[in-house]
Amino acid sequence: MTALNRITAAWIVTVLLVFPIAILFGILMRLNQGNALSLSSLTFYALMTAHGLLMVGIWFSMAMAGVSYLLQRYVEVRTWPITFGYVLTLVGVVLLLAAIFVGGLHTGWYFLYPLPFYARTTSWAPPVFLLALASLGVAWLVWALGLLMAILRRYSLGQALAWQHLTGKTEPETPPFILITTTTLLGVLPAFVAAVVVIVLFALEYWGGLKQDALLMKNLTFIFGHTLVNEMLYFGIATLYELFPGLAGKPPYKTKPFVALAWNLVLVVVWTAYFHHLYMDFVQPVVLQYIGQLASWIAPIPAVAVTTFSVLATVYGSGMKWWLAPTFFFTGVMFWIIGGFAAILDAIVANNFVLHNTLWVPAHFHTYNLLGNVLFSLGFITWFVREKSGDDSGRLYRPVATLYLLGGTGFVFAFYIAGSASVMRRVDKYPELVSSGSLWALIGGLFAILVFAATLLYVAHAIQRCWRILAAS
Amino acid sequence: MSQNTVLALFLIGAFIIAAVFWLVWRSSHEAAPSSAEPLRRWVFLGLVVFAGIFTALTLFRMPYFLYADEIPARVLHVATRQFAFAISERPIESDADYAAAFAEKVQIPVGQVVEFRVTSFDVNHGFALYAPNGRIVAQVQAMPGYMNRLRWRFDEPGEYVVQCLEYCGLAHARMQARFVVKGS
Repeated sequence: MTALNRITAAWIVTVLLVFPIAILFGILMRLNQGNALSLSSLTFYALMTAHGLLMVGIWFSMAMAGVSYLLQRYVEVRTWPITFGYVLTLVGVVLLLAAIFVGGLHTGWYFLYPLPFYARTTSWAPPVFLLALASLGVAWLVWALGLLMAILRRYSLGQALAWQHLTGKTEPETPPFILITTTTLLGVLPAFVAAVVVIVLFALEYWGGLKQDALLMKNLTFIFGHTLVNEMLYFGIATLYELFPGLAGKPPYKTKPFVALAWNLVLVVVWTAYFHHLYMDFVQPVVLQYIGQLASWIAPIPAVAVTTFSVLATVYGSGMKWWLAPTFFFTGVMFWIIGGFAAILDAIVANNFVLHNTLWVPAHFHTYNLLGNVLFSLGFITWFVREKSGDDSGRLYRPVATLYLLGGTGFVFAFYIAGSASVMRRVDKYPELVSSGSLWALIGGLFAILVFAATLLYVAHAIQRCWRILAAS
Repeated sequence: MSQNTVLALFLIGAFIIAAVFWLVWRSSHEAAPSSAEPLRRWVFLGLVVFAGIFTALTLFRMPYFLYADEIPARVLHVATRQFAFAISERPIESDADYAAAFAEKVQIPVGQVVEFRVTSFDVNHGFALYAPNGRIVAQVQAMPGYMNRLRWRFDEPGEYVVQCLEYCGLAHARMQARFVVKGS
C-alpha cells in the first residue's frame, strides 16, 4: 500500500462524507424557496454560503486528488504536498463552517466587497472567514506547485505544454494528460494570486481602515472564483483523457498538433473569460467586455472539437462494456457541453442584460458541475475503487445512474425554466413579482432529493471500500 | 434576444447534443470499428461558423451604447442602500438628498429615452427593471464609488418594479421600488 493510495483514499472518504451534507443544504434552500419550509433569512443565507464554498472546495480538491494519483504513471509524485494540502484544506473548512454557522457569516461564497463589512454578523466571523480562505489558498497553491514541480523534473516547460507537437514533431511525446494537467496547473495560479491580493486588501481595510476600490475588488474576486471553477473542470477533463480510452478498450489518446494547439489556447483564454461576470458593471472598460464575450465563445471551440469529439469517436461502434465509471465520464461530457451551451448564451452581453443574476446562472453551473465535473470525479473514484478492491459497483449501476441523472436533469431544468422567466437567484423567498419561482423551486427540490438518494447509495458503497484501503495500510 | 428565444435555442441545442450522445451510446453495444477522424475538421469548421455567426449578430448589440445618439428626455438619479432604492430627478449626494428622494413620485412618459444614473451608498446592489408582465427588460449594477449610466426607452405603459439582483444582505429579496410609465 503506497502513501499515494492512502492519501487518495483519504480524500475520497472526506469528499464523499461532505458531499451529501452539501447537497442537503441545497435541498433545504430550494424547499424554503418553494415555501415547503420556513427558514430564517440568516439560516438560508448561511446555508447558501456554506453550500457554494463546500461544493467548490470538495470537488476542486477531489479533481486535484484524481490528477495527483494518475500523475504517478508518468512522473515521480511526492505525497507531502498532497498531505499538506489535505490537512490545511480540513483546517480551512472547519474555520469556514465556524465563521458561517457559529459566527453568522452569510455573504455568499464570493463575499463581494464591501458586503462583509455591512453584513450583520459577529465581529470575529469576517477575519476567521478570511483566515479560512487563506488556509485553502495556501493548501491548494502548495499542492499545485508540488504537482507542477513533479512534472517539470521530468519534462521541460515547452515539452510539458507540448510545443514540439505544434510543429508536427512526434518526439519526445507529451501525453495529453501531462499537457492538460500542466495548462490547468499554470492556469489556476493567477486564481490563487488574486485570492491572496483580495484577502490582503480586505485585511488592510478591516484592521487599517484603508478603503478599497469596489470595481478592482470585484475583478479580483472573479479572477479567483471563475478561474478556480473553470480549472476544476479541466482537471476533470485531464482525468477523463487518461482513463476513458482504457475504459472503452481503446489505446491511449495521443497528443496531435490540434490537441496541443487547443490546450495552449485554453491556457490563455481562460484568464480573460471571467470578464463576463462584470458585464452589468457599465463602468468596466468596454474593451474588457468585448474580450469577455469573445473569450467565452472561443474557449468552448477546442473543448468541443477536441474533447467531446474524441470521446464520441471512442465510444462509436466500440462494443465497450458499460458500467458506472465510463457512464459517469460519458454522461459528464454530455452535460458539460449542454451546460456550456447555456453558459455561452448567457455570455453574450446582450443576453446577459436580461439573464444576469437570474436562475439561468445556477442552471448552467449546476449542469456542468453537478452533472459534469462531479461525474468526472465520481468516474475516477469508481475506477479507483475497482483498481484497489476489484469491486466494479455493478449492483449500483442502474439505481445510481438512473436516480442521479434523472434527478439532476429535473433539478437543473427547473432552474432553466425559472431563469428564463426572470426569477432571480440568491433570494430566500421569492417576492410576489416572480411568484412562479416558488413552484419551480419545489419541483427542483423534489428532483434534487432523487440526486441525494443516489448519492447516499453510492457514498455508502464507495466509502466502505476506501475505508478498507485505509485500514489495510 | 428575449428570454423566450434564449430558452428555445437552449432547448433545441440540448436536445441535439443529447440525441447525438444517445445515438453514439446505442452504437457502442456492438463492435463496428470505423474511424470518425475525417469528420473532425467538419465539426471544427461547423463550430467556428456557428460561433462566428452568433458573434457577428450579437457582439455589437452591447447595452452600454443603447440610445447613445439621443438626448435623454429625463435623467433619474438612483442611490441604493440596504435595502431600498432612492430615485430622484435631482442628484443624490447626501443623506438628506437620499431621504428626500422617497417623497418624490416618479413618473416616466412612455416612448421617451430615460437615463438612470445608478450608484450605491453601501454595498453592491442590482438595479433590474421588471416590466408589468414580470420580465426583466434591462438592468445595471449599483456599485459604491461608481456611477453606472443606463439608458432605456419604455414602450409599454404600466407599473414597473425595480428589484435588487445582487445579493446584498438578509433583506435582499425584499429590496424593491416601483414607478409608473404613463401613456401619452
